[in-house]
Amino acid sequence: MPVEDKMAVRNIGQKKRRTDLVIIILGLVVLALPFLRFTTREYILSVLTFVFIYTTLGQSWNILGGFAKQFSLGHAAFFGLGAFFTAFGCHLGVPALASLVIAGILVALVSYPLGRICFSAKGPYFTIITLALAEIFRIIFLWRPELSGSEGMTLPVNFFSKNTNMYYLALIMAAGSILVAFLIGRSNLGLSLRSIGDDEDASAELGVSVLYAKSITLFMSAGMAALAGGTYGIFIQYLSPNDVFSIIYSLDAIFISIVGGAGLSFGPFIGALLFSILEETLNPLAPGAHLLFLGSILIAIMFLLPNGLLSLVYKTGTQTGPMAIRIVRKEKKEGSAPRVV
Amino acid sequence: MDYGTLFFQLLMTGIFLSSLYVLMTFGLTLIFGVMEIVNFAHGSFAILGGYACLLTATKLGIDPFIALLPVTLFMAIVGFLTFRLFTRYTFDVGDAHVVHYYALLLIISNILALIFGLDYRFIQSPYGYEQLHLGTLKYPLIKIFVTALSLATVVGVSLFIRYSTTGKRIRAVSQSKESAEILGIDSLSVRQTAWVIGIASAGLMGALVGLVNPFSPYAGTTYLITAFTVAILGGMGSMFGTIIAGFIVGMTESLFSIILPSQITPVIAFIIIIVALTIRPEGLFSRS
Repeated sequence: MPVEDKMAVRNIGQKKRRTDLVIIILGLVVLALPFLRFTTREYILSVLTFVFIYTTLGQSWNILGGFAKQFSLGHAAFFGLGAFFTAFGCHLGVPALASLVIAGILVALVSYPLGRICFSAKGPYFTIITLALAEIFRIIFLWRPELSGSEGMTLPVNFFSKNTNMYYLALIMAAGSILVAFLIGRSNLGLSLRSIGDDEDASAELGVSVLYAKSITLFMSAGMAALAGGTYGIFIQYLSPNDVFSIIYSLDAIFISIVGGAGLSFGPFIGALLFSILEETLNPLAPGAHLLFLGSILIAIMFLLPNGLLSLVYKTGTQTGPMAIRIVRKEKKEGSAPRVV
Repeated sequence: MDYGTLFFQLLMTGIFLSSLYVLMTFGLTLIFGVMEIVNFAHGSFAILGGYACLLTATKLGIDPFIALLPVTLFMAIVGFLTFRLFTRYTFDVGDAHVVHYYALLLIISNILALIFGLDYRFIQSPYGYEQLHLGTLKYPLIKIFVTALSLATVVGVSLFIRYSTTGKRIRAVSQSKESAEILGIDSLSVRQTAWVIGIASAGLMGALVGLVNPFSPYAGTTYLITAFTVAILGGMGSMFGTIIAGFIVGMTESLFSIILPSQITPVIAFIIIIVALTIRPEGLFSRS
């Protein structure tokens, strides 16, 4: 191996160690935050709880939309179902954590038949069918008073009503979802999903079991979205169908995933941070103002940085947007493999 | 109410809904045929047309039916600008375009929300409450005007696409873009024409609906899903299929509105869409 190549390898190694160090320090700060004493503690904790819930929601979209490029507009359905199943569980006297887990599993099971319906259509048709499904759930929950009706329902006070416990619950959800996406990205399933994303027909020809890969991913994705919804319900303690089944949550998931970096396991976290900052600063100004900005930023990111904000940090293959900014790297050697996170 | 009156009411409501659905879907399916783009922002363009009509009618104090002309012109300009600034950059992004157009929907509807607020608005017209009497049968006059206007527009646009040179170019590009380009057709300008026609017809439809039903900045999604239902049932890109499908959906909704409570009538369209896509993913009347 020539000397320069060795130098390049060492440089990459050092850089990797430095990024790891930054992540570890950030992780420790996030873990210790509830024990620190500062004036805006309650506010920061609640914002971060939302960031973690949104990370989980964005990640659930990411494993389907980011890896396999199945652009779903129906994740609000899983989010809302998860929230309501958790609420039903709590009302039946099941402990909050148990009903959250049960809701996740139930919604994942429900997603299987729904997936069989949705995956019969491809491309934009898939998007339309998921949109229609989410709207059906919203209308049915609004219509039947025994499900909740237009009045909505409240959740009883439980273990997670304390802010610190809630914070750790959301943190564990977010960390778990990032871990799941990371493992999928490394596994054979991740490879199948990426090849489906590139060209579905060609992957089917090459022996990728397309329907199986999509269904199992939707299974995990729906469970994850349901956990995010259940956590949201426990945190907010009031659910109404017009809120949790709102198409806005599907959009939030897309925004969080794409802006952070679709197909990257840390992407949704970055997206969720940006999303929460925008929501916290702009929403008090005027209703809908933050959505206007979300739409504009989403278009700008899709045009300029189609691989998301994280592609500024990591080299993630080719940029394929119409006006994509070419990222010039300092490393001169072409041979170094692109890092996929 | 005797059965004759009931049948008459259902028939008239069915025709009324169908004509609006066909007009709405025409633009959507025209755009899809020419550029393979599913315009998720179509519903919000319709709402924009509604607000434009509301402003013209109230601020200038003219009859809303006369205001439809400047509104359609305005929407054509909006269509031209959005094509120049946005649409022409989204041709080579593949399926990801649904995200672009959904973001466009958000931008349009939230600009409207910031300007006009979230309340439902309604375009007042001087003959809003008059009824047409046919013996014992009666029906709101304004609905008849709206039906007639949208049917006339549908027929006009169909004839334009069928017989004019521009229309022939549009059909050529939607059949095969490559062959059309080899024959010397400028596909970009054809796409621009199709987009402008599509947006203008969406705006006209929004203004017409605004004369009968109240609307709000976020109401576009409901129109959008209904238009998708019609487009998919008729086969994306097929004009004839759109007209048939529009009448199927409109009549079905009118018929079911007497059995089902009014909150869940939108579900009919959604169920039609899901069943149609499960049976034939390319649409019932599609060319392929």
